[in-house]
Amino acid sequence: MRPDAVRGHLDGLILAVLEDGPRHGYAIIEALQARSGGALDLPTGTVYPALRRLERAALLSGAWNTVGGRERRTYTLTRAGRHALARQRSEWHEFRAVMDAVLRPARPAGEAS
Amino acid sequence: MTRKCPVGQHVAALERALHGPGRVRRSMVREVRDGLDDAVDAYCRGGLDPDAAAAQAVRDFGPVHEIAPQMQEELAARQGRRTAALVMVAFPGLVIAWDVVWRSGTAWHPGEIAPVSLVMARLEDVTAIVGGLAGLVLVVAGFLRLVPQRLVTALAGLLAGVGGLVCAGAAVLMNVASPTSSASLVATNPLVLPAFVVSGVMFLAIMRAGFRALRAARRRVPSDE
Repeated sequence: MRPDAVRGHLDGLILAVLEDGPRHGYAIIEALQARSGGALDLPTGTVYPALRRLERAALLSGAWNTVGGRERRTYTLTRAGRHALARQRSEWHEFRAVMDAVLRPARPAGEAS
Repeated sequence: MTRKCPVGQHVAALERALHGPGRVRRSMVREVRDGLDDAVDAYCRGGLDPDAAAAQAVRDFGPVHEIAPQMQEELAARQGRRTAALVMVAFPGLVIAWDVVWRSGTAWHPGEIAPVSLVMARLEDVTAIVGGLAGLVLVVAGFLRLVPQRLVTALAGLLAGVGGLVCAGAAVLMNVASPTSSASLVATNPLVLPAFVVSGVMFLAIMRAGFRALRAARRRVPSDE
């Protein structure tokens, strides 16, 4: 999948993989790749500024914690983040429904009736 | 060549390209470094040799000229917020502090003060109050995302720089134009000298924050080397 196609949706994808619990940066990247079956071909470096942007927007809270014996910055979805995720899901379903309707192959004119 | 070498070089190039609040910048770079080390470990577990694993992790991460501007956007936002908050508090704070000093000891006698000193005193007060209010507007605009964050940061930098220079210039001119009154004030009021020192320190802090905000808001294309 082209990185440009994903970029506008990266925030929602990150919120989604944090829904089931806190993760650190690389674990988030792994979860994105696992959930997409490896189809997300995004530079992994783009995830880190996105995490900070979501944290600044109070959709995530970040803190340094010890994970597996190493200090890692872990991110947790906030209440505002859960609301934002629900809203993005709803908007995505609407968007997909519209795109499906428009992109559906047109039936030949003779089959109209 | 050690196995972390390509990672170290990439992180160092990224760090050189970033400007902003030191603690946040160091935290961001450390987080990237941890993530790249994790990626190298994962590739090694998958069967790659360490050098190939490090090279692959760096390729996956993306080039510095592509990633650094995205990280700089965040640093600029945080620097802008800090500078605007400092201006919002420091400018009116200095006016109030000097007002307390004037009221606590011998006041200037109007006949002893050069007219230019009175004009400079008024200019300093007006600049500080308007600057403080502008700082408040920028803080609110940044929080509510009313304007692009880089613009908030650039305006906060300009506000700190111009406001700081006007206030400091007016303060110097005010005292130089009425040297006898200033000397008598220093001699008779023990709060005046500490107030000058605090004002000087605040001026330096405001100018530093202004410079950092302008540097953080600047768009540049970093090198990958």
